[in-house]
Amino acid sequence: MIDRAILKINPNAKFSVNADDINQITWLEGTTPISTSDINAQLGAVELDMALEDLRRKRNKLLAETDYLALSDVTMSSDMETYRQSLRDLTNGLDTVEKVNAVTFPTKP
Amino acid sequence: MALTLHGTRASNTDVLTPDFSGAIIQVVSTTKTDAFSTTSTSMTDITGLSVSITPSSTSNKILVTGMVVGSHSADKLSYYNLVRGSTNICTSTGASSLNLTVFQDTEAFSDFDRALLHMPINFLDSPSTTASTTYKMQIQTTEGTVFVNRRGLNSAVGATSTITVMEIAG
Repeated sequence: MIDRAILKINPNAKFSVNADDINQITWLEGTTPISTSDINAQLGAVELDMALEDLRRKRNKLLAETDYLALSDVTMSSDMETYRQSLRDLTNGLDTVEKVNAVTFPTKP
Repeated sequence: MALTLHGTRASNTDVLTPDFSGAIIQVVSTTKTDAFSTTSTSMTDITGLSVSITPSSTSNKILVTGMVVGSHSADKLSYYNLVRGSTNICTSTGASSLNLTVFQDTEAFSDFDRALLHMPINFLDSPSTTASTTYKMQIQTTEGTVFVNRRGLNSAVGATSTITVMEIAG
């Protein structure tokens, strides 16, 4: 998480982090050090980014499983259309980690 | 049971000098149990993955063994070198771009940041010294963040990396 928080502040930062410990950061290649308070301030946003990333990955796999039903020579049922749309809408309004963790995936028809 | 003692004896008055060539004299090992990450594009030490040994003779060899567990945040390359002091001691030759001990290419994986690569290290070194000698692993990335002991995706699951040195009688 520390590494992501640093890159959120400075995407070009060069550094090493040991034990994911904010007190064990080594700044490299002339990178200007970032204060621990600035890094700490990003941790909440990083945690949400990671949770959403994981959710999207699982969602995308489920969508991929039914992609073949969207081929032009296949007629998709309305149930399947609803299911796929629900998957696409899954991340709407998710602005906290708690909300992301509470998501339940729609049932495949 | 017959006992065979290998050694040399020039005359009946000589003390038998046993031949311990190949025997393990001492073993030192370090296991890194926490994670490490870096965005460095030049070789940097993996904190906690080093080991020091003081050979008892300049003719003895040091067998370096171990395992590094690595991952990446992106579909990029990461490079690893086995180093004695500040000298690369086990690198390839003839590469058109870069000679290394081992490298990790996550471009080969579709879920690249979930891929956890286990990279064994085995090298017989001849340091020719009786001074304290440090062996360590260094790492760098071409782009993105490279990780040791965890996957690139997150730190939910951990692993361990080890470096072991054995002094072998010469």
